[in-house]
Amino acid sequence: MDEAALIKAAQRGDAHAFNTLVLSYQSQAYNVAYRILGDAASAADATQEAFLSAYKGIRLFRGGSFKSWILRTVTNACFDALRYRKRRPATSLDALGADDDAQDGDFESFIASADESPADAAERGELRSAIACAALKLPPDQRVTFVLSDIQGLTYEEIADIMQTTLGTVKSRLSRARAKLRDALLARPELLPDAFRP
Amino acid sequence: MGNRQSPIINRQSDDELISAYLDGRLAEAERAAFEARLRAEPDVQRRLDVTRLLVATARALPAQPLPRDFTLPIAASAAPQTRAGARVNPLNWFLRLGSALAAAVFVIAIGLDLAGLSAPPAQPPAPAMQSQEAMAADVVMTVPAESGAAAPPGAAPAGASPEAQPASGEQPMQAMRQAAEPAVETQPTPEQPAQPMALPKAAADTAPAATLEAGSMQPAVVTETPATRVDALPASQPTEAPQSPDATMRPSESAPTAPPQSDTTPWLRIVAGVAFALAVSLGVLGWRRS
Repeated sequence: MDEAALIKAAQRGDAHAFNTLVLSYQSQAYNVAYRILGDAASAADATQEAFLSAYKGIRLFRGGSFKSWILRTVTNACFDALRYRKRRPATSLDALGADDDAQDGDFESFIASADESPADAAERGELRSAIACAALKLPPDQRVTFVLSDIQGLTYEEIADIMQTTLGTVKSRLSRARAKLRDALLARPELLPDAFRP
Repeated sequence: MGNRQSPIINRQSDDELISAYLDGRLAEAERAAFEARLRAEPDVQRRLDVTRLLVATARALPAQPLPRDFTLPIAASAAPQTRAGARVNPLNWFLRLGSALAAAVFVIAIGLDLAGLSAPPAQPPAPAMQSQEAMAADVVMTVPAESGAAAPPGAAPAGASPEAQPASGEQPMQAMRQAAEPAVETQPTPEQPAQPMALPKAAADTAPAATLEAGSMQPAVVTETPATRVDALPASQPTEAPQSPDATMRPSESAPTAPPQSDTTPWLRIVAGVAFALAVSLGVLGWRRS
């Protein structure tokens, strides 16, 4: 059954059809939430909340990109979580271990790439971890734009559709986010490969 | 032109150019001009290289494994589905509408019942008692005069029973009975001959004892007969009963207050009970269907 048929079935109340759609997008949705919120527990809660909200409001879906629609609900849930976190600041144990998660991922990629020395793999892991941590310090709008564009690889148009804004705003937010992250990396030249050090 | 702008604006403009260049969003002429700047300005070239590294590294960030499955449990997701079905199910709409209407009828009936119960009980007893007392006093004042004029002292009324006749020759008792009997005998109607006759009989039996104790208390004893007569008066024959204008008006004033209460409240309560049962049953049925 194709996506359009699944959407129509879900709009008629078919929970199985909606769950099929969830299976298609849950990995991307969770990873977007994880990169925006920075910890696994909050990302899981936001993802679950987003899918529940999507199921309740799927009758309001009037065509277009279903992926953009789902990711819009995810980013909205993340914005809600960030607002709640701002009202009630707390330190997440998962956030404290974010570096470890990134390094675990790097270890997997290190095993996969045989043509890279262990030292290079370690440097690359530190760079990834530094970028992930620096992204969490961006303003929410720029952070979401950076995650959707540079981590998830979405186009400007898709990001504008998800964030309900214009292409110019997307370009501006993305360039500012990249500039801040770049300056953060330049402030720690030891993280950069030798070719990028002054 | 670009050199005349502030360094901050230049830097922001450069960042936008770098970002757009990396994403291939520059037009051909813009891209050529920017590449010429890259060759001339090593700082811009360095920023471009680091930004390219940033984007490549971010794009290569590993995907996080899912902590759990985010599919909705069917039992939990069935609720919105049934709600959606209920919207187009006419039977559920009928049940809900019927339950709401029955509840409305129940509330209206209870409200009318309470309004009917609260208003009359506060006022009717007082006028009724007043009318009885006032009528008794009027009868006391009017009956002796009428009995003395209309009926001769020694003549017994035609309808009087032998038991009501004086058993002794005591004058106070005869006067008492003569005063009382005409008022009683005018009350019987073809429909109710027995009840009006019984009441004066009882009054006549108690009268001698009262008059023997105090002859001056005769009017007080006589008043009991008209008072009980007022209660026994049939509302359908107001023209035959009255002996005086005062006696006819007061019972007729107190009469209308009691009948509406006794006639409507049972019906209202029946309607309220039926409506309540209907509202509950339809509501439960609709709830179980949804």
